[in-house]
Amino acid sequence: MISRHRIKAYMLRHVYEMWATFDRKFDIIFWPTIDLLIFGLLSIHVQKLSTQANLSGAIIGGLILWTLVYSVQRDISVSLLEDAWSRNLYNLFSTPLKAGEMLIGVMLLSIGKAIITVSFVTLLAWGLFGFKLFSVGPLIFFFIFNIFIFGWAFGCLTVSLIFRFGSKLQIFAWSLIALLYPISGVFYPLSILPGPLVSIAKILPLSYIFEGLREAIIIGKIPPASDLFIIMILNSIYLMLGIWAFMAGFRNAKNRGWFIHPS
Amino acid sequence: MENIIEVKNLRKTYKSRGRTTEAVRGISFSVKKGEIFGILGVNGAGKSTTLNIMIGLLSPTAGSIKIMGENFFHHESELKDKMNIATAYADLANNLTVYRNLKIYALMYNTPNHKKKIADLLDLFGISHLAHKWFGDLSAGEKTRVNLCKSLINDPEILLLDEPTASLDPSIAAHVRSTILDLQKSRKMTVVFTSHNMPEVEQMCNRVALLHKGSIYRIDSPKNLVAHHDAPDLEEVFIRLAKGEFEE
Repeated sequence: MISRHRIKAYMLRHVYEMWATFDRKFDIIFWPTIDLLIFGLLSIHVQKLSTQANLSGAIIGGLILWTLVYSVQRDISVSLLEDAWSRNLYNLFSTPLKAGEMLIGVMLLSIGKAIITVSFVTLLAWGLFGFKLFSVGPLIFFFIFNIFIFGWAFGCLTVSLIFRFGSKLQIFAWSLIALLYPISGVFYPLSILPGPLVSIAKILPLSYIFEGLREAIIIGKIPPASDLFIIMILNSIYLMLGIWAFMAGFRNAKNRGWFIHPS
Repeated sequence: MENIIEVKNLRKTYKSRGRTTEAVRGISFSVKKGEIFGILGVNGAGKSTTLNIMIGLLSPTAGSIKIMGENFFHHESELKDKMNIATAYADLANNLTVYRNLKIYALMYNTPNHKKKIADLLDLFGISHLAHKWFGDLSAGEKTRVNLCKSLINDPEILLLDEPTASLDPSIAAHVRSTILDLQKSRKMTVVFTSHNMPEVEQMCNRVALLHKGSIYRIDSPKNLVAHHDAPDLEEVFIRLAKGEFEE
């Protein structure tokens, strides 16, 4: 049985950590703001050189949704690492807390943090560059929901690697997702990618999301239902794979005694 | 008296880079309700490994553990609700205050009226003044006492203590010992205890398991162990155990 009070306790531990530490607050606001300023200004410059309408909006929209991908997947693994860094995993997992409860807790936390980040960046993009993310219409909520699913799945896969190989892979919490950055079509269409990379992009729900977002912003075209269906199918597969990897990693960590000596 | 803990043929083997290490080699023991049971042995004997398996932090390679008649590995979460552990070798969250750390654990165990419970426990260990200090800023001895507060936050029926007085000065260690003894008597709490402090073990434990190289050499009361080995005290028995004099 999943226990609400244990999930609440786990979440509260990380909410307290977020309020107490400068670098967690920094993660939520600082880098997304810097990225928005750089890409927002670049997009204005590119727009002046282009005849394509609203190219600037497509770049800023892509950046905001990529910020969401990055923060959701990062929050899953950083929550675990925070407990490893403070040698708190021992006490945490000596309680009745289950792996599944921990996972639900970090997923819910990532929603809260991502809402803060994306709301802030969206408001900033509107204020500085006049870009309105929600002008895309209800489709944006479908994209955001699916980015959460993919971010959770990817975060689970990252955590499973940390469980399996230890904190020496902690850099993966920030960097592994970057492998998908160039091939997800965040700022440019997939058609410009070299052939083999297009094949990889085709099995990523993110590439369909970013292609769809770009078309919706630039030409106001809603992606075909088949693309939306592919996004949901791929995300379901990735989420199942992510949860399976997380649970297998958890068992492996327990077998190796990683919660006792998280090195 | 009924057995509240039954450990049978517990074995833990680690495999790393082609090397196999047997930390625990098929040990069996039982602990009665309300008993203080000590596990003694030199560093690496398997004491902490045994406790870590008993609290679900480590999976055994083989063997079974029954807690309150239930298979621990099938009912781990439910049974851990009635257990707790304090160790000198783990911390709480460093970036949180003592109060907030304890509040999180109180919520984890769904402790009723947690504010009062936390205040009472801090008072019991004489650290009420630390409630709003960062855990990471505390001395080792203060952290140990906060850890002990954490271990009693759910009024456990079974308390596992892994060298609970290791970093305490003698007067505080004596206070902690008498507090644990009082709680054990008043609540009929069962305590499983590891320590390198032999007078402490003699004072507190009803029975002791002598662990050597992952195997149990003998289980008996401290008094009988001393008498059996014709030693002046338990410390002498421990030294002879460490030297391997009891190896067959």
